[in-house]
Amino acid sequence: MNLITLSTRLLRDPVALIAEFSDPANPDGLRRLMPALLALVGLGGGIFGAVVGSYRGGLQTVYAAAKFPFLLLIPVLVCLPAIHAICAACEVEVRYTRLALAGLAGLARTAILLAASSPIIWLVYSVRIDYHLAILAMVGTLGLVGLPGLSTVVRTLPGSGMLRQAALAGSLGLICLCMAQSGWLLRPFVARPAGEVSFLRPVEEDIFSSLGATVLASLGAYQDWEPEGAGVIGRTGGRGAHEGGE
Amino acid sequence: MQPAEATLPAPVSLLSVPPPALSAPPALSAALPVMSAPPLGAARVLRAAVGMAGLGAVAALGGHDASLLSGLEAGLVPVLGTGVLTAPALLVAHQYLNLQAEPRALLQDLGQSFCRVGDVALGLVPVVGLFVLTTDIAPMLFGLLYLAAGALGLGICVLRMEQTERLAGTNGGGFMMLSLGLCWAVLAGLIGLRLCVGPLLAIL
Repeated sequence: MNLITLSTRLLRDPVALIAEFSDPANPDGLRRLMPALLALVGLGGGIFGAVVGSYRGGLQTVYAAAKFPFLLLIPVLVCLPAIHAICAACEVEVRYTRLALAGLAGLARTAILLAASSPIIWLVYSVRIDYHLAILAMVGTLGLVGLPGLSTVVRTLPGSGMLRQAALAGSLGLICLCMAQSGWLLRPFVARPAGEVSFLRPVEEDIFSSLGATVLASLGAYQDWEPEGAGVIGRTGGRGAHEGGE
Repeated sequence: MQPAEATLPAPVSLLSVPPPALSAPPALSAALPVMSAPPLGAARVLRAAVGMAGLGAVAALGGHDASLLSGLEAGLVPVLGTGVLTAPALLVAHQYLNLQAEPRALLQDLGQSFCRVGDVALGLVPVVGLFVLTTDIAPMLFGLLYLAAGALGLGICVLRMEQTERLAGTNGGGFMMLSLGLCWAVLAGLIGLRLCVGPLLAIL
């Protein structure tokens, strides 16, 4: 199946596609479909990333294009075992292959829609809007086109009732948590026009402390928020970097 | 009712009709979704224990001065301790209230819930691992996720026990079991929280 046919099927009826390729009678369905789905995620995410990076321009365009597919992939890869276990605990019996395929198909659908929405973002960025508005536009678009991708996964899960809702709520919470942290780790996507271009920032603090500082600042309670190296990577790598900087 | 009567082969006297207490529960339970689970076995229980201990150990790596042992303790002790301390009380109350399900069946439900929580804990290892590697909030996140998984396990266990009681076949037994299960869940939750405090503080 070529990428255009696959894209059409993903946009029209992803549940039928998932059912066909996760059928037990088709044991290598996931293996056959995965490269094409990953290619779509890379392509769609890359296009959207490039447009987002174009706010700063130059090398940042390439960096953002290279990083954006990982922003989509990391949360799903990290959360998939937990989501499968939560579904099983809530009596929503779904095979691992089917869940993985649903996750990948949902991502690919999101990536296609992201690529389709790229001209709108480019148009908005081309009038040189404020840096914070540029970030809001990116996050808003990501949230909007993420919904159809999410609905793909939701429609794939069998069953009904409160337990299914609990499984969905738990899974969604986990995905959001990991996506927020992945976005923080892979930043910057939208860099300030006069800012320094960098592929990745040092591993420091976390998304929640950053949000807390931003909220306090917006309320007028400015704090001297100095991010420090955090986590196993940040504590070991960050100390060296600080010493080197001084 | 009419079609059922029409299928009877011959006129039936009132005395030959089976007592309603025996025929009603299967009809009631048939209307409910039957909760299924793979059979309990040593491998499943061991995997669940490994999941809980592993989650605690990974979270302990993110603590500044926490040892691996305190992480293992934080993962295993609260759930195991809650089970050991509250299961006898549940069984005693169940028998005292004259409910019909076999104690062995209730123990099966407890075991299934333990395994489910352990599987969720094992699945959460990569999530907590990501936060251990990149943030300082992993032990706190571990506490929140662990409590959420425990609450989920308690809820599922109560529903399972209610279903077991319904299938055992007494009128109103399901409601009694649900009430007893909710009381037990509150007690288990409080004991679980109490058991969590020490180990959690050790890794924070």
